[in-house]
Amino acid sequence: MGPAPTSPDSRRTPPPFRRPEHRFSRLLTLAPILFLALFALDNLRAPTLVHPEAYGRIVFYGTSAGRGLRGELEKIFDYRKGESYFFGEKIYRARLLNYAFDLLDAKSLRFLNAFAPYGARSASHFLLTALAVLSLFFAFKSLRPGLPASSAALLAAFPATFPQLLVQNGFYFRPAKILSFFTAAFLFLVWTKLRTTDFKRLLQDKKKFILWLISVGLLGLLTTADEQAIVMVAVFLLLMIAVSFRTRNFLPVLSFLLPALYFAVHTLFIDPWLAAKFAGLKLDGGYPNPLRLFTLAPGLLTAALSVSLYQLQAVFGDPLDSGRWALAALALALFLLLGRRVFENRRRTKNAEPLGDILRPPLALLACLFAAFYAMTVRHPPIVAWPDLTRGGYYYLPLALCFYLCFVHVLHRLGFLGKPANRVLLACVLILWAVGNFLAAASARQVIATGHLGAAVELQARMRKDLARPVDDLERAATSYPPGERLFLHWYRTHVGKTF
Amino acid sequence: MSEKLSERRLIFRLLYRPDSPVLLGLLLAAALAADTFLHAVGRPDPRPAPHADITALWERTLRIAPQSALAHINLGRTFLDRGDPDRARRHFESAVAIDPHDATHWMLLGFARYGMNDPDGAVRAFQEALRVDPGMAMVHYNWGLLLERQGRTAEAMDHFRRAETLDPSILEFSLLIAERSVRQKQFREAVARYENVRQKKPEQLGAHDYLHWGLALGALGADAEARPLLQRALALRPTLPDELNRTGVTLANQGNWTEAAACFEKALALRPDHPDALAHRRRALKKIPKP
Repeated sequence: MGPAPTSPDSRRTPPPFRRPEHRFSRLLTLAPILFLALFALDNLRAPTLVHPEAYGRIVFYGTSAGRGLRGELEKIFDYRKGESYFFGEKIYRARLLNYAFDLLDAKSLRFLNAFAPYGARSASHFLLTALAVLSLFFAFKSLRPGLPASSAALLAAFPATFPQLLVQNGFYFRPAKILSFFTAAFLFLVWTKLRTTDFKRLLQDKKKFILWLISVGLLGLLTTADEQAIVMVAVFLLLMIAVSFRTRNFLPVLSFLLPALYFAVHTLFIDPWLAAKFAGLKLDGGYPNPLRLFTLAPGLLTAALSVSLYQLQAVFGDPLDSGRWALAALALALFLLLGRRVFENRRRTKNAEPLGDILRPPLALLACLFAAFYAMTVRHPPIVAWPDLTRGGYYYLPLALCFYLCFVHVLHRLGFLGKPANRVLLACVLILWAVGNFLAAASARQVIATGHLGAAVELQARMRKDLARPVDDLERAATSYPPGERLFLHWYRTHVGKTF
Repeated sequence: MSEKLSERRLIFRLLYRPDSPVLLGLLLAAALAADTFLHAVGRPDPRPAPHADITALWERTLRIAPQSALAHINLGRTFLDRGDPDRARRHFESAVAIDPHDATHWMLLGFARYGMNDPDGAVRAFQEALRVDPGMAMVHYNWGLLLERQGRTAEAMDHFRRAETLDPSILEFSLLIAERSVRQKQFREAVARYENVRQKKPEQLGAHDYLHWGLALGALGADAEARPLLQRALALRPTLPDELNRTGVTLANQGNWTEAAACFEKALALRPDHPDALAHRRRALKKIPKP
């Protein structure tokens, strides 16, 4: 049988033209491109800076051990060098993945600077930002099935303009917190994928089951990135346990319990074994137990709360830091208009979900994260006491992303993302916030340059000039530098070149 | 009437169609213009502000979290760096009071007390640190440095060796003992330690280590083995002979002719034709009193 005959009329009929969802739907495609362009532009304008603690690690990881790939990988297990500990002190932090990415950063700094003006940038910062954006894209697609790809991209690319993230663009320190940032994004992805799946359905689909195993394995690995990463897994686990009693779905609980268990096994058995085998170290568990020193200091509590609230406003245009009040006011006005539309719509809907049910899970998550953040400030109070650290963004990256994820989740549950017109309006609001964030990053850098790293900023400007000198002059100039910087100068000139 | 209507339409558009391009464009332009104006009016002073003082930052931290042992320890460290051991001691004592179970706090207290010329107090603090954590090698290291400064080199070496036994993974202890052994003419012990470090982590060896190792081998008569080590020291740090010569001149100006001569010897071991070191050594040797 041949193909069915078609009438000449039907052949002339043009293909059904799909009407765009909204007159300005193109804005939804342009906005994520703009966000990523702002991220790239900030990279170009950002002066690069090496944190003084990182010099020793760059030299350690960047210099070849002369024992091939094995020799290089063995360095990951030398936690003492990885932590730049004060000589002889007993510090043990199970941050194996952090050391692995630190190795990658040092190698890329060494090899990329030989070919291009790469400066003191961190490769893991770019890699993990890209991975986080990608994870968020798939997470938002799963969060609201039927959400157009452009809208998911819009929501996923916005975190690339967080001032906390932009400030880290030209900053070489350590990848622990950007790894935690990616962990938050990945946790959200795993949760969105699993919330509607139960064990039975997972076991029936072999492909899904393998993907689940890989995700849980990756989460387990990510727990070894930083304390913040394991705290986030633990917080998600607690939340899932609370929710599972109502939903009777224990798959998310298991998915977060397994990585948490792996962390315990890793810290107690695997890490000490690896460190002993490859670096000859005897791990002593000497990192002070924060619970032993946990105190409720009113001053510290209010400072932690104030800094957390600052991080919240920093995500959304950061008018305090950028001083761009008109932009922030316009964004807020548009957002309120959007809210008005949505709430009117909710009023008309008969079975609208109660507001309490919508707000309870994100508020519980944020409360748990704040408690963890407070514990971190007890251990390391400068993160809420030093203005340059609070503006620096490094420690607050995961918290900022959690604020944003809660925000998007609430928008979704309230129905903000439903109508194309709402999404276009949301894109306008996000564009204004992104511009505010971009401007805020510049002023945050000024605060950093006058903070505790101010001397390092000036010293690096001098180092750049000295590096370009003839070898004899460089040797003479190097004697005036502190030991870490001197070591780095010699190493950089020998292994990389004159420009930095 | 028509004006009223258009006004109403504008409000309607603003409230129900805020995604209108004209309206958005107008609002954005107005916002940017207002921002540029406000920013230009309130532009901060372009001169760079002075850096925040690290001591002031830690003091600020203590105001917020007075019970933070970490803040006391770091503030104490800044005072130690500034050569103010008395204020450092006060902060280390506060840290010890907050958390007496941390051996590092006791060790730093001992360090500050020694800086205040209170060696007995320092030893008490070191003993307390070892009571809290008998395995803390760093305490023995600091105790050894204290004894060394008092001229009790044999006891100091004993503490350095204990530090090395407690934590063999800190190769700096082995390198320190090796260097002190060269000074005390215990060349075999020095060579054995350098060999050990080379086997474990060759990248740990610096220019000074290769120099001392070469000198030790030279003293033992193994010139052929010493030469590549001295060359390696020179390759790692081409300015080392000049630096040693300068150190020697400083020591000579202080009247320490024996150590000055040793520095010139080291410079000449690396570069036998170093003109300044040759002349200075000749002068230093004349000044050393004959036994």
